[in-house]
Amino acid sequence: MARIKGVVMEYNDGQAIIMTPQGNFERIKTKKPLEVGEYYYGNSATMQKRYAMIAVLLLALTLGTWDFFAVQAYAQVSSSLELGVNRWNRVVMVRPLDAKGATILRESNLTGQRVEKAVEIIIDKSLNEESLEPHSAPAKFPLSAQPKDKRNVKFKQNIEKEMNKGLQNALKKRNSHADINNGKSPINNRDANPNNEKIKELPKDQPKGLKNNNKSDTVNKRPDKYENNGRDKGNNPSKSNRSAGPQKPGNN
Amino acid sequence: MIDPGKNAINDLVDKCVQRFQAGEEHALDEIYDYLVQFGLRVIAKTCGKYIDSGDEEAAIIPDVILNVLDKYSSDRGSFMMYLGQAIKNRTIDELRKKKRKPGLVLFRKETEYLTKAIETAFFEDIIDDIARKQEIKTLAQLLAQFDLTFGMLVDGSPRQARTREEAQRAALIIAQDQALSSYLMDKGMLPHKILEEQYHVNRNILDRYRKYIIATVLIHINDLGYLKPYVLPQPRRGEKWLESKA
Repeated sequence: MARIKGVVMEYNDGQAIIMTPQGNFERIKTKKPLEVGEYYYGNSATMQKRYAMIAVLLLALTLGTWDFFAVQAYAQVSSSLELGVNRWNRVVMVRPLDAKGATILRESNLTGQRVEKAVEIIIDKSLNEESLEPHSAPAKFPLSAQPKDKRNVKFKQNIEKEMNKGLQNALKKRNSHADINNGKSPINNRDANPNNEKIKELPKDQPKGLKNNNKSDTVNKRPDKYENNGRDKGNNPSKSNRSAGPQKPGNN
Repeated sequence: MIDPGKNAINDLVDKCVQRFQAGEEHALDEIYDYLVQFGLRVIAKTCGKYIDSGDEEAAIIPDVILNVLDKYSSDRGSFMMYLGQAIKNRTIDELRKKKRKPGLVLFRKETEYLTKAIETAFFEDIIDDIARKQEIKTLAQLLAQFDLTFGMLVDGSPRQARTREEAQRAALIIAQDQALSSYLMDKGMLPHKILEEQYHVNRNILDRYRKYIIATVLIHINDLGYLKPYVLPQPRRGEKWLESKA
């Protein structure tokens, strides 16, 4: 610990002025009463401030870390994995519920990912494992979220919304791969939706991802116009439709 | 030298004690303040806490001084050492009477086994503190003539070691030159022109750290021996004259 020493030149109500051996005059705060002329050994005010700042930073860092790793809700993807989610919708804990879950967990690093991305990875892996046909009816992926504070409905809805997004992304990705394998590139496949029909979106308040198979079919069957081929990544089909407004027949 | 230093205090006390014992009662008045200050410091260091003149522990001081003045003779060594030992013993006795704490017993044992050399150093440190206090008081008075305080020196002293060295060097040059120091004392200003032209001192340093340089010059020209080592610049190669003259 850096210390300061010197001769006390002036002392007044807990504050003293000392002259250091280098000839510098320093003002210090001390609880101990000092006598003018005596030697002082202690921390300088500058050092005390610096230590206080370091302490505050460390405290903030510790609290921040603790808060980051504190599970605020549990999200379950199908029956294989349980995700612990923090207040920023990040996965901080993953627990496999069966052998399949353990395999997925071994193959991918889900900790630190957003819930959306984690769900996408899990579903992608699950589909790969089951080697499903692209346009066949997908397996069920019941998604559920349970916040620690059960009264926090908003948080629950928020997580479920993100999980649904992840599910949709995974399926979208799956379909685009399947189309490429069948010789239909997303660009060539524009003809699949000549009238640019609006794609149905999963209802926002739907708590569990693909409980309703019809809805999932709608998602699966939609044309690949909005599938990204690297350029319009992250485009929300519904948004693009909305922004386009009512389509004129001659547009296509 | 305006105020007495450590040896001067010892000499003054010894002389006054001799005069007092010879029958001159007023001689004690000259040194009484020093003796009380010294007594307070001894008690404070023995008790391990700050003692003020109003504290209960300090009440023994006048009594001990009078007792010691009766018993003291010059063959017992320095009066201050003798007085210090008496105050210390009396303080320990008082503490012993009051309470019997385990910590206190240990402390007493420690003090009892102190060698004479250590005890001498103990009292000399206290006398040093008192002498240093006198010099600081003198410096405060001298600074007041230039409308300066120690608080101003905190803000006006150079932070960087190199700059501080330069300021201290400039101060030493002024202190060693009779004409320059007279100019400062008479006009209350630094002799910028001479310092710049003859000694190549940086004008910025003279302007920015004027207060610090004045304080340092005052320490040098008033020969404040306890404070001087703190404001001496490090001797440079080829500048031994600075060191020798200081």
